[in-house]
Amino acid sequence: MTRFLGYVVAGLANGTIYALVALGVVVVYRISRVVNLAHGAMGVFAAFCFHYVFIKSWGAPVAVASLLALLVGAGLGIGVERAFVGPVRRRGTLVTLVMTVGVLLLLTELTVQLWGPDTPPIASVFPDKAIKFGGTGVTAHQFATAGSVLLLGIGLYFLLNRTRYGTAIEAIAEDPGAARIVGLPVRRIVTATWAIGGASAALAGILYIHLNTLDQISLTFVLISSLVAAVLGGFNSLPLAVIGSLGVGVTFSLAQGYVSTPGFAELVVFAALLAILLVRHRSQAALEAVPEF
Amino acid sequence: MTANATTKRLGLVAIAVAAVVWPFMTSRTIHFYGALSAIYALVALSLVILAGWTGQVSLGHAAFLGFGVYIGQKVLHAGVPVVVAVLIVAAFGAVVSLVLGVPSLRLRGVYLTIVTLAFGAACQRYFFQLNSLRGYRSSTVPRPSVFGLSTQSDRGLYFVVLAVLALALAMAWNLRRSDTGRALFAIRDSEDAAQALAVRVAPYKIGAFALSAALATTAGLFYGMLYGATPGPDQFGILQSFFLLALPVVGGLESLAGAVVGGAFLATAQPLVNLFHIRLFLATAVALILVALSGHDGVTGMAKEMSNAIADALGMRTRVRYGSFVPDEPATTNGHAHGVLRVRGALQPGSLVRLRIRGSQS
Repeated sequence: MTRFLGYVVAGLANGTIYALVALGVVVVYRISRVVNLAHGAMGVFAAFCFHYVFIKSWGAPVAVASLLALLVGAGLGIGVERAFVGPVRRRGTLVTLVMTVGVLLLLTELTVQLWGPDTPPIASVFPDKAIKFGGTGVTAHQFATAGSVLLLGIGLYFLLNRTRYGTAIEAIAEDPGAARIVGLPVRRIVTATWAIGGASAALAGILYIHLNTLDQISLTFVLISSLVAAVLGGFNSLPLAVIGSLGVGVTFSLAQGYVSTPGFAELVVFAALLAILLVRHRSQAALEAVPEF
Repeated sequence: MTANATTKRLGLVAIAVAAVVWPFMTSRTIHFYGALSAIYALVALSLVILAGWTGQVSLGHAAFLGFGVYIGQKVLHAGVPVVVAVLIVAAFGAVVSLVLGVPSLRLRGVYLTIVTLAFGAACQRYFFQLNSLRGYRSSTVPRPSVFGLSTQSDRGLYFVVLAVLALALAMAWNLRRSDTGRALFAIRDSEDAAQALAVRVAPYKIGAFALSAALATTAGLFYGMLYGATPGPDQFGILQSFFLLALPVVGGLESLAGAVVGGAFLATAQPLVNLFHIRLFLATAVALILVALSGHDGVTGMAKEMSNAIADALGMRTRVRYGSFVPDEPATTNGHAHGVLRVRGALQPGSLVRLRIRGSQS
């Protein structure tokens, strides 16, 4: 039982990162109806900037470098929206998806081209001191991760549901043309939302790669699990996406703990996605065509 | 037959002759890339049918390619002739595609993309790691003869793949001209409109995905034969799926020629990018983004628009085409239209008869 609880706690800790990625993807999706497949690659790129440029070359303190990485992420979000996704969005879902795939491939390969295929362990603002929790050690880093995700989640929730900005996003998601007529700066709000998405990707990147020194594509695997979680909420609901992500995290942890076959967790997530889609009613399918801006 | 159609046919014959003749005039190392081009063209064709004609994006085609390699290797080791192996492998791909397609394609939206992504991840990390599926590291893939044609050399294998590719292209060409093809295009352009025309959307999408998956696994069978060994699971990971999607996009997502051009283009790009010390996938990503930004339908789409512009500038009249495609040759009527309308079965009140008459443009 302690073993089980330990896996659950570790899973919840990892699940917060899935939740972070899911939040970013859903927020961007809600306003622009674009599933940003490059989200993970953006996070990895920012994390590698964090390690190689800000810490290695500039010798910046970790806290400053973290903030700079978030800025890089926000910049990437703006850049991807302005230069790549924005220009083709009118031409439909197909081209937009293809474009995000192109950006994903570009950023991933650019990371390898610039900094080589090595995957260094990267620093974290938060200490790695283990905190005993029911027989398993969860590091302070993981606790801080969970905390920051929780804060970000609550912040986003309030931003979207309690502020004028959130109402504006809702209006743009509903009908961009009407939103423009009532005087909303549609383009600027869309770009700002992409910046938020990019910054959250960067945060996920530095938090995740600190825990797992994996290759450049690893955060895209995280993105896949987060997409599955987001599908649970029909790509619309932040709370459901977070709950789904925590569920995915726990599932991963349990599958890895009890089944020794590598990759069994991926299989479980894939099967769960098929199950979610099978029980979904047609009218609930929220992923629809791209609106005209 | 109009003069335009005659030149078109002559061009096709010339391309066919060139595709058969060139391996006899070049060295062996190039044959490898010839065979790889044909294999990639098969994959690109599978994505043209799915993405270009049906409007659905699959990001798991590398997994289908991998299944083709691993299952194909088992089937070939069992001594099954290649022709039968193609059928078995294709059927396997189609069945797997149903598992993915039925839950996701009955819904509207990009669910297929997410399901195929998760499928690709599950294959890379789980299915392809299973020794029972993959066989053991560097299992060899036999290269049996096909109808007396040895595939031991890359040239022999190239001819076999070329024949399969030609068959697949002919099939796709006919599919495009059929009612099924029209339904697919209608779904791509607007699911609402298609539904309003009483097209049952989900079965068509699922069927197109099954056909696409079957073609991709078939390509995998030959991919394994070409390399003579089973590559590791990371060769069929999600990154490769992104690369494969670039094939038809760069070539031209809507046209059969686009599939062939895209396949050949990226199969032969490896030695080229090596010269510049750029990673192949990086160059591919740049090409993919540029093509998507350009607003043209890949290389073939650009070529077509260019030739049209030249024809316009020279004052040659080009045939106006309505809609996405008008595949049939226009009938010459000399002012008098006569023909026979054949009706199969009995006409009853409420039966639908479609007749389309176009103005001639000499």
